[in-house]
Amino acid sequence: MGPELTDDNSLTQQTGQKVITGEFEQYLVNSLNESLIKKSNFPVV
Amino acid sequence: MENRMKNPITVIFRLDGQPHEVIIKETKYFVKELYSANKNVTQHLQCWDLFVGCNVDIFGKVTELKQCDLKTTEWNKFYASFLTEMKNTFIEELKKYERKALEHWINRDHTGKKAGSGNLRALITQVVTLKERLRSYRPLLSDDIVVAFESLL
Repeated sequence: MGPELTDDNSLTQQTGQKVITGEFEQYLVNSLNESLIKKSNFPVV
Repeated sequence: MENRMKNPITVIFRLDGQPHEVIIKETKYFVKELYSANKNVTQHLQCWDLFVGCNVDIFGKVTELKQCDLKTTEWNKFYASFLTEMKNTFIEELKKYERKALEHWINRDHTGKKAGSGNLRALITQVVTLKERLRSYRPLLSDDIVVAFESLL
């Protein structure tokens, strides 16, 4: 099932799992940040 | 370089909200935020902005990151591969709709040759541009690609 437009003009999966707003760059960075927290704490040196 | 002497600087970028550490000549300094040496970039740096070869402002001096530890190399490689795969998927789809060849900057490889030199911010910018472009032809597909890739994270 693909994403579809909702009343608040954001995109959501029909499964209701994900909401994608117009600010895709911020959305992508947030997803990457979340995965970073999930995986481990990488120090960058 | 200061007084014709090279001073190795170690930067430890903290992801847990604690101050980042800058170690110069065995003295440790704590900084809340790091900034790019590029004065056009006014926002403080995120981990996605750092890579081997980038220039950071360290106490007013342009400082190039020369190397990183193994864990950081693995981290950089993982996300550079992830974003490059995503980018290539968008490019392949876009080729079906775009009559002209894509601009060089969108196609440019940012994975880097040296360890830890993947420019993740540049890859994010490419992915965002490509996704927005595909959205004008296939809005649902462009979102589906994002969701499919997210599941890999």
